[in-house]
Amino acid sequence: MKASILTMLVLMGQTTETATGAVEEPAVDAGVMLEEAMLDEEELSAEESALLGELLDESENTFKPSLRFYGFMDFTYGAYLNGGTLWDRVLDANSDFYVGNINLYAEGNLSPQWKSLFEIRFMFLPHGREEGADFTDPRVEQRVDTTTDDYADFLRPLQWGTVEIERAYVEWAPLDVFRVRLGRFLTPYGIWNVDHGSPVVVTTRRPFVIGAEYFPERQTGLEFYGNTAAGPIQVGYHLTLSNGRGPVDTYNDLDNNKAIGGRLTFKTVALGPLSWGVSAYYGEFTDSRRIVANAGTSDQTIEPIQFESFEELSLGFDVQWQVANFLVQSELLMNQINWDDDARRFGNGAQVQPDRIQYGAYGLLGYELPWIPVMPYFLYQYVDEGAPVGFLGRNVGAQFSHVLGAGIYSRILPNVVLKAAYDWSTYPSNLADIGAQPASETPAADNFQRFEAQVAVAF
Amino acid sequence: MKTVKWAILALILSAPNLAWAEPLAVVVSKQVKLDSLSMAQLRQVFLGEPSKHGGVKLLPLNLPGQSPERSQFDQVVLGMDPKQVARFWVDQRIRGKAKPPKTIPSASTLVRLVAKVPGAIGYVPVSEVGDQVQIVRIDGKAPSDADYPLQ
Repeated sequence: MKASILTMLVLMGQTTETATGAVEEPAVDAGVMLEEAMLDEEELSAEESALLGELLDESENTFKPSLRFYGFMDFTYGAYLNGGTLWDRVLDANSDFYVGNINLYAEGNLSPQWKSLFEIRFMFLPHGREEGADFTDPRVEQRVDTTTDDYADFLRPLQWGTVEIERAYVEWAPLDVFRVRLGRFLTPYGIWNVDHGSPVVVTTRRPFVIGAEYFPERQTGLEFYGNTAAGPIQVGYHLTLSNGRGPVDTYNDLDNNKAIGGRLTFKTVALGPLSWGVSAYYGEFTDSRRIVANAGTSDQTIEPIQFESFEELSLGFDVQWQVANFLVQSELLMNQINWDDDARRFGNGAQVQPDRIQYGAYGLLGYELPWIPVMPYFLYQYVDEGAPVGFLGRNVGAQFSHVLGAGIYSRILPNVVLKAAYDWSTYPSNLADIGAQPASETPAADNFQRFEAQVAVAF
Repeated sequence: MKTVKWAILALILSAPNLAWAEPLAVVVSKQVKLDSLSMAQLRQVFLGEPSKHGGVKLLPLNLPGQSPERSQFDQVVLGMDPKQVARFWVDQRIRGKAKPPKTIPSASTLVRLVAKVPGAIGYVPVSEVGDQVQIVRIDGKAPSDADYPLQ
């Protein structure tokens, strides 16, 4: 309580800003109000006094900065069910247990109008990642080994992991209709990308079209957003200005060409919670590196050259509707890539990457059982990559994919979720035509089936 | 005799519902000039959307999840049961959005706190209101009106 009184004294007489942006004297004299509250405190029990202190700390006129930690994690069992196909060569055909996400949030409430948030993911990676050929035998993949000596335990072996910064920003919110985030933020598009936490999303892993990142998953720059009511509809907007995509877009804009994006959202509860939105992103991907020109001569210089560069335009539409016990959710996304001819990436089979329009969608239909907290669902996904994709270094023509899935999502507690999912994915291809697939194998070898079970918790 | 037994049993079984029969009053401090809110605005406040009135930030207060008043309020105003509301707040936290209203253990405590904190807003059965706080009309209706939405 002493802290609250101190805060009260410091902030006494402070002006506030209205929803229209005009600064005015508060309608209530907070200082007088709180003095009265304190004078009356003897009427309150100890529990009530504690609650009063917490409320005064949150109250705008007597705000007290705070820091909150929370997060989520998940544990998964996954297995491919139809081993023996060509997919064994690129996918781990064994069944596995793994801890997928350990995400920690730190939210700083700095003032009624300022806050900060960072979210980090703890990972075991890069340990075990296969990258490139082993120098002892070029046919063998080399594995990253992070094993080191644990000086606190007789130098016994210890494997270190890494941290991924999912987002980190400072937010200024002077008005409901105008808020700004500065830093690294999740790109505001669709449903999945921002929900992203495993207890919140329905399936055990994100749909392919989301994982393909037709929109960048995150951006570094500015995000302006806000919302307002228009009759029974809540209308929201997002505008982004960022480094765009690139190999080091977290802190470098290698083409000095900022990417722009936007999103409009609409929500209503008139027919059950219904929200829909449209999103767009336009930017340029550039991978430029410095090279030494005229090495060893008096004209030696270090110059940037563009290794890869393309312009891209992404568009999206999403809808989510909860009506009765049904959940309907869908996202449609497209991404157009136009390569710079002087900096076109080499693709599979030494072919240059073509310009292309790729698009995809998923549709999810769930029904939450009325008597137990279990939601069976069906999921259909479609992806057209716009050009043949590679497989084992060859152009195999697998351009389209269909995925049929079914599963259950059970919220046994508000912060504990159990999931099970089965996916059947098919990639029609010309594997046999190019000799990558023995003629004796049936086209069924082009599909794979996967089962996953997951427990996800929020803490 | 059998009929009387069934009548008593029916009365016992319906007891929890009897508590719901009393309208809920939405209350704020008397020193905040807030006379009326629409149902949509009330929903917005209790779903954590930033809400101000007269330069004062509104701080929603909830009753415990097990109380019949809370169930009634969640169902009528938010269109969810308390478990769905709990899920909603876990989800909002993971999205990095607002945090849930503070839960106050009883209606009488809620009234006393609302009276002392500018901007605090809560709901209690009409009989608990007393003279320390003022009632906010919802969609222009007072609890005594026949078509008051929080019946």
